[in-house]
Amino acid sequence: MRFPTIKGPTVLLALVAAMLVALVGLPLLALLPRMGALHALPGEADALGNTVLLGLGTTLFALGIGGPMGFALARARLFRGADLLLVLPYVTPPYVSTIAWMMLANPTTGWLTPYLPVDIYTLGGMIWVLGLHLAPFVATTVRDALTRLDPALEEAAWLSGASRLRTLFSVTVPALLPAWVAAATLVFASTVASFGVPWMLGAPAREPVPVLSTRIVEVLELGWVQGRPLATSLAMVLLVLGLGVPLLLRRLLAGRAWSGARSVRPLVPTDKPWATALVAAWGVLAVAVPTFTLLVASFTDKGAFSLVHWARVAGDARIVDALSRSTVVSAGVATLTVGVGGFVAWAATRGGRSAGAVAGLARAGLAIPGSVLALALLLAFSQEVRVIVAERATFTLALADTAWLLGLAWFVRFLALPVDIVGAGTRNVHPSLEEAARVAGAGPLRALGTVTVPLLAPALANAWFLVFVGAICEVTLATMLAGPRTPVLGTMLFQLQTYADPRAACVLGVGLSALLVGGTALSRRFVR
Amino acid sequence: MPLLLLLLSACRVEFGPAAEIAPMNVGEKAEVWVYTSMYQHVLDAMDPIVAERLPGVTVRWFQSGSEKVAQRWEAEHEAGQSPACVVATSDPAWYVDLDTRGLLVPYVSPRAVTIDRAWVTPTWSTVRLSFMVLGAPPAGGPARFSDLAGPEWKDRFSSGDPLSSGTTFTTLAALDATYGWDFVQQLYTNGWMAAGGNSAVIARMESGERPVGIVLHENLLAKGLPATIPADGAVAVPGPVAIPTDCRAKDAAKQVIDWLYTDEAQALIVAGAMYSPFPELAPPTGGPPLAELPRFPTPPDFWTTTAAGAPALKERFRALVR
Repeated sequence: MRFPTIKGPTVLLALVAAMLVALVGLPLLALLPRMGALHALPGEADALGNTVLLGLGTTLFALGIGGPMGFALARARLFRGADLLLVLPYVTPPYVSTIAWMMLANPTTGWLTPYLPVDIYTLGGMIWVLGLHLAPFVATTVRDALTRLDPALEEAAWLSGASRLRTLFSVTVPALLPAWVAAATLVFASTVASFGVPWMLGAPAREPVPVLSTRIVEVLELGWVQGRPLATSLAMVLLVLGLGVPLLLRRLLAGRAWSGARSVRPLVPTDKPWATALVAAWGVLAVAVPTFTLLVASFTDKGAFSLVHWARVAGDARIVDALSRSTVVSAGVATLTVGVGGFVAWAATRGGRSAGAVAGLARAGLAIPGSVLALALLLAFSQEVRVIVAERATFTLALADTAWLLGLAWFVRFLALPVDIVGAGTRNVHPSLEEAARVAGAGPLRALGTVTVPLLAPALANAWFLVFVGAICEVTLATMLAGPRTPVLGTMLFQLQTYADPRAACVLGVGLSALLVGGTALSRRFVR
Repeated sequence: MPLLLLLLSACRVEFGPAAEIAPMNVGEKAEVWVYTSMYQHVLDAMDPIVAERLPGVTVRWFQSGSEKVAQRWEAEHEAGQSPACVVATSDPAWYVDLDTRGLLVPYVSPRAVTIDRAWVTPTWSTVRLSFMVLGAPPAGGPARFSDLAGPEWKDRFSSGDPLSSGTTFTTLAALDATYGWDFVQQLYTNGWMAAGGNSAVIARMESGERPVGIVLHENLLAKGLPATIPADGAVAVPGPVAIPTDCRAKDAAKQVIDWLYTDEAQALIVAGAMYSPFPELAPPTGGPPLAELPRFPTPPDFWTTTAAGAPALKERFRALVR
């Protein structure tokens, strides 16, 4: 029995759709008339090819590492803090970890170069750095999906005589498909739109590796009037790529995924030596080596031990101000994003095409480079909007140079995360559970709040964390949109990295990672 | 719905007849937005002083790289109007372009008329000077830009990316104008790494990855790193200041520009390791006096031709390195 009429959610979805049209659709529409120089697009084939390779390579790499890591975290008995170790590369701003890998693996003086034939200034180097950064996306999504999976399904397969391996591929992996697809689409979209890592690693190469996001910035640097038509066209190509490939992936896998009710009796984690080895290897390669490199760099000045970089950060009172503002705005954005994105994801999973279109709009923000998104938002919202009531009161919406505009930008940017992560979770929660609540007399929203939301708690928490960290570490939108009176950590990182002291930026990056990991550990203890 | 409430709470509410609300004023003060690439610590030092010297003006700073400032201003201008009343970055070609498009208010601060004529136009004037030099020890390093084409410096030098760093682009344009494109090609053949901004160049110098850099003199001075003033001259990069026509507080903007030319403002610029365009003022600590600084020769119409030819030159460079 199905319950096709859901008036309350439909009204809510319409409101969300209107909001997304205003926040995502209008800025993108503002860009459309500015497209041009289409004749020059064929000349950008190399950038398009590199972008596709980078996106696919990073996605495969992150899935290859993150999938088994997620499995290990959900099913293996690991040492304490293993889950925190897992997320550490994600909570380190990517360009800070890029600095570490440049020091380790540049072809001339890299610390690893005498021992290993490595060159970080390659497409492979970009895939390595971005893959390590984004693998936690995959791991946490897979871990949450496994936590929701009813172990009775796998046990049934074992009792029927299936081997562990066969059970894995015939039961577990298909059950995890929604999570895999969600993670893959997020990694792909994030990668193709990423700018900092390709910029830092692609340009110094002997044969530079242009990608669409770096070309857009290069073209804009040609001059606004001359460069903007081609830059806008390239941004639209990138948008189509960032949305189209994930859509294709979903279509290909449609019907192959199936739902299972949440586990009422989770599998007891067991000792799995391979899992311990995998997490330990991750700890060394993705965490210890770059963190140690950053620490050494942060304590070194002109080849000698020095505290000058730490002193610079400690002595800057604005950093505390920026940290507190970033925390508040990021937490607000994460909460709003998870609320709205979670609802859209649920509606898209349970509803029809219109909800799917809203979800598609929600994903757009992640698929375009930050600089283009910032310019689109500036075009749409840089002017004051005044509403005069009865000639006596004027409501002035002046978002430019306020934390509000930055908050909206982050909302647009990261909305795709809860849409895909919670969407994957929703697909694992069978509609029969909500239908049971409806049969018992609950309204659609009550069924959602009392049945689905509690079941999706891990996915919601995961999405909140990923959005919060993504926002607090974000630099591109922050430098373009944060006002002079409202500095955030991203603007401080940019200041240090670009002008003052790149190694002090490392200090701030490492300190931020430590704070985030410490905060996560504390909150878990508090929640327990 | 929550977002609508948030937007509503983001509104500023003013009571009284709408016509009485002055859009660019804060209380009785005129508000002047300065979009600049000057270093944040210089702005931090300027902020309280300018507030004291210009009690009728509230100065707001937007600080970012020259290119980001230009992109932001252009986007705002295209959307209707930019709030910027003063722009002060270090990409003269952009000012030439704005001037050509009729987007700058003709204004020269009275004191600016005394500086080098090459750095003053009817619509923009130079408020600070930067120089691109060689980041290398004076002994044992390359003595001039032209040395970088020699085999002893193969794969040992780097610069910022001319496609994204305004100061590096100016250097590329100067080298092209004076030594010709063949020299640029020689540099590339000799392993010129052109990536990132000036801070990236310094990072590569410090790590030894590329021990020689084509880099801003002020960045080297600020970090206490060895600098070589090239024998063929340091490439001067003027830092223009101008008033865009979008500005709604032009008189106040002129006051701010006038203050930027005062000795106390110039002293703060010099304290930030940049040069004042007034040769009588002291150079930054560790730098030679302005009059003794050899300047890389450029044609008289350098900025006009550079502004007009910037897209073509950038495309040519991109084609070379790709």
